Amino acid sequence: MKLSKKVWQSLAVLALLANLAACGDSDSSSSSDTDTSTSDSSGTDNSGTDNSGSDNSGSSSSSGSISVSDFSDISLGDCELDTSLESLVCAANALIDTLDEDELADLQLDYSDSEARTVWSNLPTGNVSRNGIELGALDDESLEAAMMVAKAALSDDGYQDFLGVIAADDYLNELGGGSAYSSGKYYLAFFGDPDVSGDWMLQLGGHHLAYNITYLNGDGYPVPNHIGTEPKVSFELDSASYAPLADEGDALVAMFDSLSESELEEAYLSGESYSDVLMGPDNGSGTLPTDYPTGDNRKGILVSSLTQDQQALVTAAIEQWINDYPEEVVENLTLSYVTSSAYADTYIAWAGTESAGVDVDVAGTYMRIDGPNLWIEVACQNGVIISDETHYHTMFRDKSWDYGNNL
Amino acid sequence: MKAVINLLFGLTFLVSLFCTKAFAHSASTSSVFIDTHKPQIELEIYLPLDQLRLADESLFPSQSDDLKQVNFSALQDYMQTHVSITTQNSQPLTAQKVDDFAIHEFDNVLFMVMKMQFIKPDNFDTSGFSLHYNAILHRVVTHKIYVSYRNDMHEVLKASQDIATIGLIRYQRETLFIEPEKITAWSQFKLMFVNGMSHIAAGIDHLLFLLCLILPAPLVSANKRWQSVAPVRQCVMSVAKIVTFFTLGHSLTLALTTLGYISFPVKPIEILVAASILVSALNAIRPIFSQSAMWIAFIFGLIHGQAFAIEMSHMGFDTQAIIVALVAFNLGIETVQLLIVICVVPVLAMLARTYFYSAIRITLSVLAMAAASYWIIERSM
Repeated sequence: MKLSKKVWQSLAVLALLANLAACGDSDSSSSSDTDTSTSDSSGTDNSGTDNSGSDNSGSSSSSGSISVSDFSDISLGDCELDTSLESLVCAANALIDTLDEDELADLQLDYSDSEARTVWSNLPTGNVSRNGIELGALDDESLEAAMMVAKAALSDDGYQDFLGVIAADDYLNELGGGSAYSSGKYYLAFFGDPDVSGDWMLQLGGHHLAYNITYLNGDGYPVPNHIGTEPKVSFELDSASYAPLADEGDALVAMFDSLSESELEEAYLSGESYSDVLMGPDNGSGTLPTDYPTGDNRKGILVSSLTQDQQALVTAAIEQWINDYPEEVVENLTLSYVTSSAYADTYIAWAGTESAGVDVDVAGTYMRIDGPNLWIEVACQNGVIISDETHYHTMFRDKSWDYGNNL
Repeated sequence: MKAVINLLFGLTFLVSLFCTKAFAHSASTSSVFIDTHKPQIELEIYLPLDQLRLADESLFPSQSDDLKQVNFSALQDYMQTHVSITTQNSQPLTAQKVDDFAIHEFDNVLFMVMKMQFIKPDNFDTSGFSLHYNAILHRVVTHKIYVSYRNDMHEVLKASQDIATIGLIRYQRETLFIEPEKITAWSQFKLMFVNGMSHIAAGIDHLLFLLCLILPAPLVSANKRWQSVAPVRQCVMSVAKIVTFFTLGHSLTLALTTLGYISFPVKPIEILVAASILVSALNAIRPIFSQSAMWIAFIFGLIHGQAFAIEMSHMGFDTQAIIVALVAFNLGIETVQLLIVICVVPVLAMLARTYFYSAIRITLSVLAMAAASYWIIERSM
């Protein structure tokens, strides 16, 4: 029997309300969220004296935030091995050993599932659900093991960026951003079995974060990688300070600041406005994206036309991204980005208000490095919670080697 | 009411876009809903005004920050320039009109809503067409446009599931091939049959009317009162006549109205439906038209048929589909009517032989009169 009209209406209304509720989290004007910080007590009450590592405060909602500062100096212990990949595989297996059957089912996914491998987002996890186990739902032992996996997969710089991004969510929560923002709402997944020589992929992500690192026979492909952060400037949480993307942003700005007026004009993407990154989330497409600018649409100024000093600043900017991973794991890929032959086909470009110049405090400012394979872009958007400041969305991709070119 | 439902679905869909598909909370997406089942191709378009201003400042007065001040006539030209359709045999179509402008605020984002209509040429190949669209996108290269079907037929079919996005228009993907979903005559027949059934089953006013008509059926009038009990055969015959003539009446006006031969304003029809209940309830208390009951049923049928037609008119069919839809919808109504008659008449016939039947009959009639009076007042307001 077909549902009657009234039932339809109710369904529509319910669906609408449910959606509104989900969206409320990203609503910058929500002022009624002050009570959420009390339910997430660890988000506000940890005054540096909390040393329990991952006190979930008895939260029944299973998504308590993490005491991020407790993890800033963790060591890999027995998993500190000769190579970074050995350390990572050791840490991954140590994590696996701490999990129960249900958790393992969440953590370990099928490497051949290309659609799942391409699911990640910049959005809060309430809006787009992620693969894997939720950090905030783990017990102390498993949480520590999971953080060790992150530490082993990333370089020290990269790990600090990771901590900064998840701490920023707690910071937004403190500012009244609502329960959608929490350092606990980050997810870790393995596609295939972690192995020093096999093919597998690690996915670690949540709001403003997507590490997709594919390992093929011992070589790492840390792309696509999305990191964003609000605020983009330094902030304090539990007496620790973070500024996860400040170095990256500054390095790009330094690159553009070194250009002469005419070079800057040449690098300007006239007729194009950017409200966000261009090559954003793959949304479970299961394939490599194909809509990079090509031919005449590749705009900007060629790096090879710049002076050695200017080129050094381009290299320094690129290194801000590739240095987030252990060098020996990713160098087979990343060394190719900074060669002179790559620079002969690498453009740097920017967009935004031309009269304002490359000013990351102006919404709409956009910076890009577009190489034969390398793709780095940074977009400055108005903040969602801190609405009077801009914040960063960044993408780091490889046009040929995203997901190890192995979807 | 249908419009409200449409709106709700539209909004629901929009919200889900923001929540699940938007690439950032602060960079809003556009939505295009395509309706291909009308004589013209209709696009309903939602443009986020902040992104529109980023794309073309000249659409806004230079001295104002108020996005609502957007220049509608300039926007018409802008949309004509940035949205077009090509048929399968490469015939370009430009929008015949851009209208129904409205501004909606949603989740703190202001949206320009409008409709664009493209006339289908005589040789239009219904298997599909190409939509060329780069409004906002021509400048804001990061803009995303979600395209989906907005079609009442489709919505009725799909409403229990998620409304599927048929495509995403984005940077370097400014053309989208639109392949309207095939709706077979049989699936449409089933759908409209069920729709007709649920319409009468959910339409309390029509049910009440039917009940009032058949309440006195087991009785025979004498001296302007309902008195002796009619033989079963006579009772069945009289119910059959009443229902048949009611059906003939409403089929006639439903068909004539839906096919566009006649039209009546909605409000008086709704009031007349309520009045017909009042009259037939009065008749159930005291025989007013016992001799000519079937003709009264026919006349009231004409009125109710108008009301059914109003319901159907919101569904938007092309002329071919409408014949199937009409028959199916009517058969659906008929089926439920017959089921009710089959269930109710034997009970009434039995009750009529008890001493308390007149109490039941009068009580029900008074209740129906009260309800009818309420509807008359409510619908007159």
